Amino acid sequence: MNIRAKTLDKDTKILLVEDDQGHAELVKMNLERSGIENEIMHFENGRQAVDFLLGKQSADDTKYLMILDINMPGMNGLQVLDRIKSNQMTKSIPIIVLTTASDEKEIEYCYDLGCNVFITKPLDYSSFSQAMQDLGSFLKTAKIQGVRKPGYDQDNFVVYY
Amino acid sequence: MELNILLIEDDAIDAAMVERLLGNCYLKGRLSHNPKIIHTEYFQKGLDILEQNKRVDVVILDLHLPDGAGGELVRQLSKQYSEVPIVVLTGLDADDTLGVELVREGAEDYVCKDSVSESSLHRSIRYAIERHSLANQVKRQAQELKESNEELESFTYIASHDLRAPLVNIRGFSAELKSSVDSVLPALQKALPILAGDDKRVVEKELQKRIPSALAFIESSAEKMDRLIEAILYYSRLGRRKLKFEQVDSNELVKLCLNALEHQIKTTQTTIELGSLPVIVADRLSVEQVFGNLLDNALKYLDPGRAGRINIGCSEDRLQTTFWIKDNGRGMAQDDQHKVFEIFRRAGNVDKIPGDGIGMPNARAIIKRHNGSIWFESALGKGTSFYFTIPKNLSKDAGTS
Repeated sequence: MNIRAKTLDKDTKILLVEDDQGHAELVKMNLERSGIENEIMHFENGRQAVDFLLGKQSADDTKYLMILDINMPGMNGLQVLDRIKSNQMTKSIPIIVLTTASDEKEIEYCYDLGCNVFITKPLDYSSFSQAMQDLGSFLKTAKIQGVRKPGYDQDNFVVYY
Repeated sequence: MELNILLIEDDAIDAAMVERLLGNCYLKGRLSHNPKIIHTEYFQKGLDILEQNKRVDVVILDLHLPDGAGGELVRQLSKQYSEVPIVVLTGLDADDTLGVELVREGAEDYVCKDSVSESSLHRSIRYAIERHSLANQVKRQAQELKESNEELESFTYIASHDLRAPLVNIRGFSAELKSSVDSVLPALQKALPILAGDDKRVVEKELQKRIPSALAFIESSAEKMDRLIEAILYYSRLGRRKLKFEQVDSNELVKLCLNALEHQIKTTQTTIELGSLPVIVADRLSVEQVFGNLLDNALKYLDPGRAGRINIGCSEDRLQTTFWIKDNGRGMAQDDQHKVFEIFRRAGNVDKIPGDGIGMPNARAIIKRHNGSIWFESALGKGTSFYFTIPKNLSKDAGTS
């Protein structure tokens, strides 16, 4: 899977894993505002999302894309990332980490685990709203060139606001 | 209380002498119980006994053993079993240098085989145990203090991090609500003429005045809270940053800070007097922040009624460099002065001047981590002089975390 190589298909399901209901709602609103019409499924914790993806009996044809928060009670985002990316069946699902953390080490660690795009949640709402709409446009058109980080076999992006 | 004594001594005659002296201490009433003596001839065996036997009150150690000799034994023993006091048994009449060296390695006391008496041995042991337990207590308390400090730091960090999540929602939804109101207003405007008098008034008042005003308050307060949290986060991050002590040309550093403030210096027409400042050993970023904060404050709080003058200089002695930044600004009233180093608190005569109340607490935290001190003298209407010291014993390439 390579984000920049293809645009987001209309039938790709977006899995939004975010424990904060409000954040999830704001992310959804702004993605929709940018013209994303894909179905967005919200999971309130990591466990639910992992169970949903790994609990499937047979490989299904549905394409998924995950937007993942890191700080969550119970199974946190890093564990989710690890579970999804270390499983043959699910590892090609693009994962966009969207979190308040901006610690260099955490970002590196996310990439080590196989995250495709890392976005720090802006705290100021107009930037937040802009960031989500940018993400929406990015997913729709995906013509932005990714920076290939040495040592990683996937294209990775870090987006700061 | 019964004493458990570990005697590590390979000379049978010396060992017997110690045992006899200790036995006598009991017989003559110096000790309330007959001491229990565990005797071994080898250093390694002594270590094994300590390993198995948690209850040893004191070790009496000879320094010439078949499997080791000298101060090294003391060092190893005190490092591995720091909770047990050591009294060294020396053959020769120990001169003071040897004694001091042994104590430095971790021994509590030493006694000479040639001159040891029942009372001197007894006193040595008793004092060794007492001193050691006090020293251990101090060490424990220092450790506890360090832990509680770390706990506080990580608490600050986590709390401020977690406080931000709900703020994103408050700011987000109030912005969304505002845009919702803005988008229904035109439609309502059109419908207003058909509403009856009371309804019309209510709609106008609530939608056009009350709701926007409430939302504005929510937003400005949330924004302020955001800034405060950001400041706490910054403060706590600073406390966690590892300092790197290196050679810093303070003259050059101050010039850098002044360059950054050039605009303010020009617009306020302030005269800067910069003495010659030395090269010091310190954490570069820290010192830059302290100078930056102090200079920024000096400029910010100038008295608009007279031409500004800021004097930067230092004095040196054997132990430390004392820097100062003196201004002829508005100064602080006596009652306000205690607020200077408190987080989020500011003096009373600065209402109109923007600031978070974080610069000075920061500066103090930084200087503390350099083992220096910071203080000021101020008089309302006359000016303020800030002083801070950087000790000269900070070693290059070292740092504290």
